[in-house]
Amino acid sequence: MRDPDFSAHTSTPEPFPVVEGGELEPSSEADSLGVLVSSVLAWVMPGLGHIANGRVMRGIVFAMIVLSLFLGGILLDGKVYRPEPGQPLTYLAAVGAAGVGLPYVVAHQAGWNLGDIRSQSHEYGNTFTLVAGLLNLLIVLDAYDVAAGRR
Amino acid sequence: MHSHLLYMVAFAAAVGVVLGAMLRREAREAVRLAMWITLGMVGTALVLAWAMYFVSP
Repeated sequence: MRDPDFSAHTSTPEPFPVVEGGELEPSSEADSLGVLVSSVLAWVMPGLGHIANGRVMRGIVFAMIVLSLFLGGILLDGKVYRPEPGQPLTYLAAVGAAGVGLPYVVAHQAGWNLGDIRSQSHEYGNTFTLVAGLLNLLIVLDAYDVAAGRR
Repeated sequence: MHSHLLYMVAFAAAVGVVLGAMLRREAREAVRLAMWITLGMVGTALVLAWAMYFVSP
């Protein structure tokens, strides 16, 4: 199967319908639902939104990188942030880390979220798990654009 | 044994690959951008590390 990504295709994509005032308009309700489903899938499991849109290679690359980064962060004794009362910045960090979707929930349920503050690589691990979530949030936005036909 | 340089390179490469694949449509251009981002992040970090060496107390 030919992946529409990473090909020699150079023509410009079809423009997304633009209504007066510059707002983007989905072509139908089914399209809107497809965009929503793709975005949710992209958040739940990194890369799945792109795979659902037929961008298989790109989705696999995203999944491998984000999951490796997240798992690597845990293996480096990093913690997976969660909101802590009295620590306002942890709320922001938790939103970022939760961007990785289902793995975030699994890490918390399995008790892999605490890390080891005595480890030399603790801060590296924190950064890895946090950035994995932030990257997946960007990937969700990209999946949204792909599903909406803008890319 | 922990290698700070290895962690930094791995981190930069991961960010570079994701941004490269996201911002470029063709594989060759995506790989090129990923390499530039990776090298840019690692190079900037090394330069900043040397700069901090000179201003350290």
